[in-house]
Amino acid sequence: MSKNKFHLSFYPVTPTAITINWEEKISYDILVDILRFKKILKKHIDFMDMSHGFSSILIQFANPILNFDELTREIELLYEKTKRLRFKLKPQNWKIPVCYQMPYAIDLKDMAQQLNLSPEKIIQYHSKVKYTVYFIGFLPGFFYLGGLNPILYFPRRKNPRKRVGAGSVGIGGSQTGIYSVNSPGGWNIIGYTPYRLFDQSYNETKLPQPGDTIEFFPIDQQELKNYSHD
Amino acid sequence: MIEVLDPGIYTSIQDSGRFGLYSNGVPKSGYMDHQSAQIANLLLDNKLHTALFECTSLGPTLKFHQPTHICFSGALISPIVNNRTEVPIHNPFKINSGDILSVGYHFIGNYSYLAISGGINTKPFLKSRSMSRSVTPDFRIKKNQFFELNEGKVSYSKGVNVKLDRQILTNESIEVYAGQEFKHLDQPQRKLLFNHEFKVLHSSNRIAYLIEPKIKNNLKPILSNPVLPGTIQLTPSGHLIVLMRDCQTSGGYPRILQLTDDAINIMAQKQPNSKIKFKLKGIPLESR
Repeated sequence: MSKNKFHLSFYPVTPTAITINWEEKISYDILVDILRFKKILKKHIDFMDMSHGFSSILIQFANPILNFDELTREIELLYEKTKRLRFKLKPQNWKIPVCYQMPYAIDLKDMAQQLNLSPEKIIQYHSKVKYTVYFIGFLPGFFYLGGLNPILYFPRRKNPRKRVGAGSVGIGGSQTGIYSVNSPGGWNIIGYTPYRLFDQSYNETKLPQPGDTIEFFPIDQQELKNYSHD
Repeated sequence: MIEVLDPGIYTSIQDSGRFGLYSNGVPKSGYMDHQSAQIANLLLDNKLHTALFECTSLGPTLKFHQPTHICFSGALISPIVNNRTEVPIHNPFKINSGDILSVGYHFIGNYSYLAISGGINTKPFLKSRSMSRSVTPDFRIKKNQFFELNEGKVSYSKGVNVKLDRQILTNESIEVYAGQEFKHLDQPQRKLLFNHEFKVLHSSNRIAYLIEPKIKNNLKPILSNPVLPGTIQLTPSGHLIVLMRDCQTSGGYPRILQLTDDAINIMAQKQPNSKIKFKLKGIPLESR
């Protein structure tokens, strides 16, 4: 059910890939519309890979697109025809444990000082929110989350670390998230979760999906030990 | 079975990569230079997606514990067996059990491909054997590792020699399409992009090639949206990043250019310090 009218635009990225673009902003309504339309496209279009970002869908085809205009007309028509159909997102809520203590919360003290907040307050603000998963990208299994309290907006580190461990929970600018795999990274690390978003037993059906919400809840080191699988 | 006596600088196992996992943030990976890798496989009658060794800079030294056939393609190298017999490029070559193969240096071009009859049989992960830093436990082969082989053809007819296509190694012209944010570039920026030579920097790898000079940049960052291998991003500091096969699936820097499929293969073969020039191919589809 879409009360919003979005104007779509299209871009031919390569002879085998196009993007469908919404207005360039982070908006829950756009997310819902993207997820709705993705579902429809998957039923009607022969594709090799379909992914999305904050404001666009990328479709990759196995073979070159023969006629770009024809394809975009087809997609536009599909959009017009289906935009009034009932669509209800059925988000699942996931609770994810985070240990906000040392030796994991390496940047929490610094952040607290510069934001003029106590570490406890930061933990509270960070864990008292339902974040929306907008999409997965950047790293395998990495969630782009919406909903960080603006009080906690904090610039990325000037010198990114060469290695941030998988499970590190951080804040960078207006975003928060979990490093899903070991990676270089510039976010300020305020905790660690034993929850695995990507490893050799990866199974996406057991993990949050775009549109779902996640909540962080604080655990101490003792509790963290109970989670470890080793 | 193949034993790794010396892994070389950055030898990895690659096939044609992972597909359909972009919405999980999983990079495509796969052969840096698809064309060369496929030639190596084809000459052994392997299937197109067969896993092989991708070598760069200083290649590996491998010991074969079974007879088989191998075939090289890609960069110009001078591999030898048992310290005396030169292995021709673009030609199936018979290997005996106990043979030691040294791939050696890459003289022209950046990546060579060592295909083996039947292919390397590692355990696939997400339907691919491609090693990748953020995806698989190992991103390159290690000393003392052993690799099993699939069964392949037993004999090959002589004289299937393919003329080594050096174009892919020496061509300095990189064909590009206008990227999604290209329209925001002003005339001086465009002029610099297409009239200037760029140099490949040493920090280039399977994820991205960095090139110089920088371009004065006043474009706003974009919202994080999908990127592809071959996408050229312009960073706030004016650096140009050419995304390659192991690149992330989304990014927040303006996407100013997009390499054609062939150009990604050509780009992959550029060693650090190589010169390149961009040639605009316009909008990728005829009908626009």
